[in-house]
Amino acid sequence: MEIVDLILNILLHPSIFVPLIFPGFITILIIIILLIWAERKVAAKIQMRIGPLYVTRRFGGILQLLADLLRYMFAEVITSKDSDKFIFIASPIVALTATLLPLAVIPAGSLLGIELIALRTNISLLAALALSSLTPIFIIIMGWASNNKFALMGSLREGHLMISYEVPLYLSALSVAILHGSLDIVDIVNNQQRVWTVLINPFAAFSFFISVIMSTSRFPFEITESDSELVAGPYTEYSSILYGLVMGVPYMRLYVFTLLFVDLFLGGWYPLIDGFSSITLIIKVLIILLFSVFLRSVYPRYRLDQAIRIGWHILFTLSLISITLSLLIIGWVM
Amino acid sequence: MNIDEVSRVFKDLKSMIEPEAQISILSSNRLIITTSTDKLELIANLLKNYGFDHVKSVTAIDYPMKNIIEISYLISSFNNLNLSKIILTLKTLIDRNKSISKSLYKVWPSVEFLERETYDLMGVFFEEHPENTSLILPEDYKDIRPLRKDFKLIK
Amino acid sequence: MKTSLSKQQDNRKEIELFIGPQHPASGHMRFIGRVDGDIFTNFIPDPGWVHRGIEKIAENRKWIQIIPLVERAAILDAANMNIGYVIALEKLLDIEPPPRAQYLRTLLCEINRITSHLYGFGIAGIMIGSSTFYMWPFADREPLIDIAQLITGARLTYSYMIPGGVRRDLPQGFKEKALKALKYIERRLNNDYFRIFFDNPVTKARYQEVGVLKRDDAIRLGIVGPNLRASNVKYDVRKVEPYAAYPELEFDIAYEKEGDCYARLLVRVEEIRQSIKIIRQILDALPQGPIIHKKYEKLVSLRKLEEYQKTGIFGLPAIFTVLRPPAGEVISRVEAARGELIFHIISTGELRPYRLRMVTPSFRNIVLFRELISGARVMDFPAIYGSIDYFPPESDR
Repeated sequence: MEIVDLILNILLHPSIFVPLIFPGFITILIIIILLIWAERKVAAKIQMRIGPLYVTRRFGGILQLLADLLRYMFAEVITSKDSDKFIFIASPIVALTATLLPLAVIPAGSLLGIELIALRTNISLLAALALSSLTPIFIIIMGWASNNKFALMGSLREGHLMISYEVPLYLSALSVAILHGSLDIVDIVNNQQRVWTVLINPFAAFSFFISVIMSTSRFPFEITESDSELVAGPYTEYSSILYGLVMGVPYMRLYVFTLLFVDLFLGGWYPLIDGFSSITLIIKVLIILLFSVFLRSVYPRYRLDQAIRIGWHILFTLSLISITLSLLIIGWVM
Repeated sequence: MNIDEVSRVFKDLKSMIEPEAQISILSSNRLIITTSTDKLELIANLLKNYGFDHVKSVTAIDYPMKNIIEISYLISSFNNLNLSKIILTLKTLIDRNKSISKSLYKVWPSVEFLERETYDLMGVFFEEHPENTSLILPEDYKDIRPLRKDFKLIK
Repeated sequence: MKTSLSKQQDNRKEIELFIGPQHPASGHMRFIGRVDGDIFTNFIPDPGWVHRGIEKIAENRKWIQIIPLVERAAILDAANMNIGYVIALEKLLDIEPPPRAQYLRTLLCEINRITSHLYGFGIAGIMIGSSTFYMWPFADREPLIDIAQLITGARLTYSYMIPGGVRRDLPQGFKEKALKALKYIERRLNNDYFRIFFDNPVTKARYQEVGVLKRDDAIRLGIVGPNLRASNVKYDVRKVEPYAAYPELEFDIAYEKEGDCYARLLVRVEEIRQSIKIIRQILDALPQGPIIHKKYEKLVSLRKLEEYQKTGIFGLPAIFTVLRPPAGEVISRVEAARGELIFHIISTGELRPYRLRMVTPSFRNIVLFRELISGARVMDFPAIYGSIDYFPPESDR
């Protein structure tokens, strides 16, 4: 019994439980399987199709992605002759890890009385934003290592987009910090017990959300891997399980950002369910995720220059407005 | 389109192009002008000034018995709706062995791909064409051009 | 089909991009583009990957066998390919089909025009990333294909028109089914398509003022079809040289003034509306009478004649296999869905044509790739490709 207790203690310790189980790896896997299934099913419903069906037919093909992953697992990893092989194989793995890093500092409520945060610091917002900016770099490296013109152009697009979404993303996140007078996400969430940030500063929420859509290449900003001219952008040369990984990265990134979005703007785990506040959080996250993938059925994609223009003209302006608004509100309250 | 208008166009063209070329009527609104290769560009320019602004087809017909290739430009007009009712065939005969003709690209840019296809499949070389390269066949194709009559399909 | 690289000077600022033939958006062809940053400095179409040599094969087939052959140029526009050839053949044979056959031909051609435009919409949609507008038009072709199947017995390659008439009469209760399908398409086109795609701000951003083709350029380059009419040239063979039942039907030429990608799509929308109008008129004013010329009616066996009178299905007379049109030259033109289709046929009075020249609308539009995409942004390539509704198999023949 002691050993079981020991294992349980280790597993339930926040620094293990958070990255591994919730809201970390296992939850992500389950959410991605459900999310991609839901994305395909919803799109199919809108587009007068059936969507995934044959794997686990009784449940409407819910395990389709698992089957696909298994297939990727057993497919041959093809590396092209002229690619930089080590970086080519390493960068998707590193990108995946880097995508998950922000989870260490993003609080996810509490479950069974355990506070779900792996690393509590008073600058967790800054840390989360900084860690989240690692992934695009590895996407750019992927395109370079592939030694393929389409991949290279896709990477360059990612680079162009990156500078146009990251500035409004960070500014609007920081405007929240100004509003709540803290860089600790836990403090920010606790501050929203009575009223959510989205109601106080909707500009920040809007520009943050659109920047997230842009950074995770959801429609209408699915430009990096725009298949009608770039095949699959930076991921063109990837096959088998590496392809599974690189296709998972944007979804994981979307999940991490959505978690942050809910914490910053939608009141995190409030209203509380005693001891199980994570459930409130995860429901909000799922709703936002579903909305983000639903955009695929509605919009075509913008052109690269138009997306960059939106980033700098609209989102940047909005994030500046949101900072001004935060400062005004702070000044008025004080 | 009434017959009067076709005959008016016919008379106009007749007075304009003779004696360099001969004009005849194929059917109700199809006219044929026959000319020699060296007069082709001259006639084409006259026709363009008259209002025929584009080429619909370049048809090359191989006559191995007579040792000639007949090249027909089907021309008509988009701008002038009266002329667009007529399809005018501008016809010229070239020597089958040499099979060199003069490109009308300068007169009607719309012949570009039509002439390239004719070069490719019939082997008629159009002088002064901007891009006398193959369009459909491989670039290093050396065999008989497929639309020639002596190219046999495998039975 | 090029085997070597384009011959331009090597420029270190530019990269040479080979798009296709195995590429999600190239279709069955290849493009060679030079990219400077985000701009195509040069863009060359390279067709020929699905060339089937229809012109050569036709020289080795009997006249009647060419009917299904020419359809293969554009399977989703089979009726219009068919009528072009049959009209040319009838001119050679000096025969005029009876009025009912003329109306039935027009009916099938217009159904095909709608399905072809819907196909074009779907391709245009997926090219700029709208998966919904890829699925919808493709699915909405189905009711129209169903009514075409009621007329001809086939879904896509009908071979419906034969010299002197058509092969089948309309089945019972056709009118109600056709009207129902038309109503459905009209509702989808005027409401749903505009809400999801044509009025979508992203679509407008991608299409408006992109790939502008000026009127003079369109005429100079000899562009045909909706692409020509989107540049404000009111040229439609159905009006200029009416064939089949078009002289008796009322419709307008769809045209736009802007000449950009968006105008080209709107022209197709308007053409579908006009086609619906034409089909409604045909269904109301379909004349009674035979569907095949009297001369050919006498040629079939008694059993076939009985079947024809009972079911309205006309079996081909055996004598068609040795059809020998008199010697001569004939040029026909019809308005296929993508534009003007030319048949130039030389007959020497043999069992087979001496030369059959077929110029398809897509082949005449191929120059647009070079003219519109050179100088455009890389992401404009799929938008322009989708908007000109280019169909490689039709172009290659």
